[in-house]
Amino acid sequence: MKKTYKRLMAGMLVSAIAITSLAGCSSSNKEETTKAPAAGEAGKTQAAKEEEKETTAAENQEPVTLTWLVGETSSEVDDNAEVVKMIEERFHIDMKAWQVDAKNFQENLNVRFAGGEMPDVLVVNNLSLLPTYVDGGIVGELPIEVIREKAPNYAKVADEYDDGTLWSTMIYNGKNYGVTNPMDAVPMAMFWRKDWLDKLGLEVPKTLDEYEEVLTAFVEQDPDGNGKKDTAGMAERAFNAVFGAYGLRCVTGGKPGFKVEEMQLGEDNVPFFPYIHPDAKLALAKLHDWYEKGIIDKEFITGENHGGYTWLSHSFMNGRIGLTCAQPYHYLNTDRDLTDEKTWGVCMRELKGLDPDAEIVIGPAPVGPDGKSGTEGWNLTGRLTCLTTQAASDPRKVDAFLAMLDAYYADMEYAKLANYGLEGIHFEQTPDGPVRLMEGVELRREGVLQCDFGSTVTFAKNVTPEKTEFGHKVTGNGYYRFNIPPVQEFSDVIATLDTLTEQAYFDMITGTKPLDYFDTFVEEFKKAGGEAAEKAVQEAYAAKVAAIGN
Amino acid sequence: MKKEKQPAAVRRKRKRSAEDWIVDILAYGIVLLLVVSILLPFMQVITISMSPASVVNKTGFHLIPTEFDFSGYRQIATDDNFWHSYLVTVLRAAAGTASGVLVTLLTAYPLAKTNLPYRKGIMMFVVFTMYFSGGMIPKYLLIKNLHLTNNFLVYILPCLITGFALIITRNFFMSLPPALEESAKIDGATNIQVLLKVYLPLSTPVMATISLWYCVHHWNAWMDNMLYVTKNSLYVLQYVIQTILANGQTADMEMMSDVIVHTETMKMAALVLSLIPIVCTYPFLQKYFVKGMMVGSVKG
Amino acid sequence: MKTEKKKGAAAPSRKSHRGFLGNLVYYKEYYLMLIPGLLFFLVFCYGPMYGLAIAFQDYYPLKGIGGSAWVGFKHFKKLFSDPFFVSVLKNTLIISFYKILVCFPAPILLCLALNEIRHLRFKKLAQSVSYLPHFISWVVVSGIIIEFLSPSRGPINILLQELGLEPIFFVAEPRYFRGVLVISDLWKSIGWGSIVYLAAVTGVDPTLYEAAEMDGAGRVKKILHVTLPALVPIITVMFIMESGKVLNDSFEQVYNFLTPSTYQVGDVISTFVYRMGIQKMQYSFTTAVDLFKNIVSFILVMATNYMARKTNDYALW
Repeated sequence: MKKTYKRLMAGMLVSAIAITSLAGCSSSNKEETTKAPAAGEAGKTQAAKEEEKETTAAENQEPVTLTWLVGETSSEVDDNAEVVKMIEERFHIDMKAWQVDAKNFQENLNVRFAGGEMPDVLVVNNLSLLPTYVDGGIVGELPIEVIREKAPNYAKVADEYDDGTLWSTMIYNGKNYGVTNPMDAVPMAMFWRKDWLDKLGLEVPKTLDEYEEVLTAFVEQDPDGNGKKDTAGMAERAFNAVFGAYGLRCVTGGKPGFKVEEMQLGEDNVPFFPYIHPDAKLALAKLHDWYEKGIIDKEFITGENHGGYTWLSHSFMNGRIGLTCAQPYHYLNTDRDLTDEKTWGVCMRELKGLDPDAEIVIGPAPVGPDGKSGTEGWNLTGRLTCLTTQAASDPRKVDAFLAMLDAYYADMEYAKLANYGLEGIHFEQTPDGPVRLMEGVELRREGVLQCDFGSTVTFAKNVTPEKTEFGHKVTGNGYYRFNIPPVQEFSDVIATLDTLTEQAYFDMITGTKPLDYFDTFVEEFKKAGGEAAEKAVQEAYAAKVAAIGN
Repeated sequence: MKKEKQPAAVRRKRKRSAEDWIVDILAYGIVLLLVVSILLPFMQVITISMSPASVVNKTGFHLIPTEFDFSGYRQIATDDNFWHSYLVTVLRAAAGTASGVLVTLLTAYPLAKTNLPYRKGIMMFVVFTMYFSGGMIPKYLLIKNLHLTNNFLVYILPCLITGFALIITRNFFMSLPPALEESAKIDGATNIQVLLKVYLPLSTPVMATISLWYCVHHWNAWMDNMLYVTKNSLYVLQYVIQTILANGQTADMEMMSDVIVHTETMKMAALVLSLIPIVCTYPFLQKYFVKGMMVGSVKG
Repeated sequence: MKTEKKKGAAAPSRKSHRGFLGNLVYYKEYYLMLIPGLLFFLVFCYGPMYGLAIAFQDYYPLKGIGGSAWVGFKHFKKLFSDPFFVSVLKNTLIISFYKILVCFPAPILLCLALNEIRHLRFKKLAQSVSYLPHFISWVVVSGIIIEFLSPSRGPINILLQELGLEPIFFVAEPRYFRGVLVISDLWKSIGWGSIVYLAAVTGVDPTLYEAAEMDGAGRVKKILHVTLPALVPIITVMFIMESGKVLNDSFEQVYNFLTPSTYQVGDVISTFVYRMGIQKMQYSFTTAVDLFKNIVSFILVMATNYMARKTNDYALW
């Protein structure tokens, strides 16, 4: 044994020498890279800044580089693409985009940051990331006065649609970091198999009870006429409408489960966890009852979607269920003429490809016993777009960014270019508004959707008025996403709460656990930090509202 | 082994015992079961890669293509970067495998010598790296400081050899009879000569194994491309495929944009296209697994 | 390797005579050969090793290790104090245990079976086919398997119903979930895993088979007394390595099969950590989790190696 130890020691010694020698050289590297941000926004960025200043002094006509990172799956832009050139000329910039793989997005982003690289414009998906970005020296300050001054058209719209918190959303430690956009969010729509309804002589249901009748008929009366009792009513995507009938926001997400990390803003303007609300027990009771009756497909556990595009519902397409939930545009851009292929959305095309006889109709969300109804919707204040410290410290970049933001609100032709691209190449103008062309184009690489601000209220009203009008016509009340103010108490426990809730909910729906377990679950949820998290979020939100009120 | 087995089989033909039958049934049964269980799902992959969406989205199995639609292949193969990246990947796999095998052999050989001092310490030094790593960020900084970014060598050097392949090779060397080396040394061979003339000819199976490992690693790697390379001309195949598949595919509701939906068809086409060469390499390596090599060496 | 102990006994005395430098000079050819390989490990593996410090910091990428605050064992405490940590650790260990039990011996069995096949074409084809699943990602594999096991459409359940039994939702039933993980892993890894054993089998001296035949050994006896013993060293080595993977669950696999219905039996460390990362940049936390897993792995490998040495003389080092 002794000799083994000796050898071991020798080996360790070698590695120790190696480590120290390398640590030596790597720490010098480290110093180089870390010194920079350690000295605030000075250091490396300063050096870069000075360099840039020199060049700007020398060649004032050189366009300023502006690097964007909008989505999780951006691709680099082709400098020769027409859209890129048009945008570059207009704002006198050299537009670049970062390509970061969606799968390990955060990890890859960190690596780039650590290497001292950053884009200029960064879209933050989740407000809870803002403190980390600010504290980490990545996101830089963008004072509201500057925004108001340089992007007056944007400011006007923002003021108009301000729900009282729009301007305070991006404030952290008393400073403003970036811009938010007033979005036109269309809630989810309920899609029925019209051919099934017609065959059974049923009307589109309106209340929760009527829903149950129709869905039961789907189970019992062989709507597809194949002589087998192999159909169900719905699966997990329609859950949110059942919760909506009890006044609650519920998000099931792409993969079957419940998104507990999304809270709901109550009518009294106080945020809360919908999943522990007493009324959630009623919704669960309904879902469990429907599960027992076969209305809910037993295979909802593995999900309606079996791969491919997330919003496809394979269960719906294959005639296993007769009701699903999606954005209106996923299936239809308009209800003008359903036989016209041009009005079909992605999911509709796939449905028709599979079953040419399938017909759909959009119905209202179910009305619950207390007259409540609604479906899930995305943020009304969204597309949280920040400037990094590198861009915030360069006035030319700030100006270019704000000019692009303002143009998106002021010039609808530009907005259309940034979002839809060029007519005939990237989209086709139809009586129902612009429709993207799918074949043979690489939108992102050609500069489309690389520097847009999404479906803002102005964009929705002016560029896609038909689509917007139709979307709101076929949907009702929306339970919109709430921007949770970042608090430590919340992010520390959210994974635990998520696991706890998803497990309990699935067990109660399938009957593995009795409904009375709900009370135990609520207790556990609160004890696991849910109560403290809820309280902390409520306080932080109240503080935000109060701050802007002054 | 092939040579040896043939007469044995001939002899057995005269009288096959119950034992022979049982062993055959078991062996063929196990292998046949596995082959079928693999081929069936694989046919689904191939079928989907050449079928229209209506077939792909239908639940159930699609083992034989009924309708053909090669749009998946077309979309991928018409991408400008695709064929160039194919070439880069072939070069990378060839260079990476060759250098990897060479360095592995050089390192494994001395470590197989039981009388080499500090051998165990060095082994610990290697094994330690199999379990501990500094993570992505320090590695990125290192590669940046070595000026390896946007350099073809970044595909080769940082993943030159693996501890696992090294250990397997070393173990193979250790299993060779020491008498071979001793007799060569008596004939006046140097250590290098022993490695080249005695060990190498005997090591074809293990070399084939580690070649396959390195080759497959290089063929499938794309994270290093994403992190360290921004020059289009150096993109590797898997990365180009990843970007084609990822382009415009977002489930984000806020994006509100009916961007391109890359169907399963396209994914499977990408999979099949990237698999063909690697599947074709195997039969070439395979002969080294089958040939009995001890026979010749013992004679010599 | 068998001779290791005997030779090893002579080595240290020689070594002590020569001293460190003396050894380097005496074995210079060997050490020269080692240089490229060891340099690689030194630069590319030990070079970035200082990054382990991130586990003890609240790390901000832009600030670097020098600029980030030290927080001691905060992230480890967070992991260990999580109410789900025990169950997640338990699931990880149980699934790994099953996998070692089933998926570790399977490639050896396949290797032995392939070795008994005398139709050379079939043998080659079978080998080529067997390693195909290694190249298909878990997303695709899980899709196929979920369809295959579907209670309404899957062939297995259609068969069960024909037999008058109730269909079973294998993927969603906690009772069967771990089985699904193990079998799917077996299917995906068996062929690729057998390559290393096939290489070892070719090293068997054919005269040994002849000698065994002379002694009147049947095929079973030849397998047990010639082929298998020849595989023991490589099996030992593979087992030692495998023992280090006990905590390294396969995220891609579990994530694609896991649903809330099976959290209680299938939620493993990596899937749970993934859920923790939804909200925040968790660079330090994930580094801490990895470090914890790797320390355990390393200890296990050392222990298994030690036991292997004690019992059968074959070991990694």
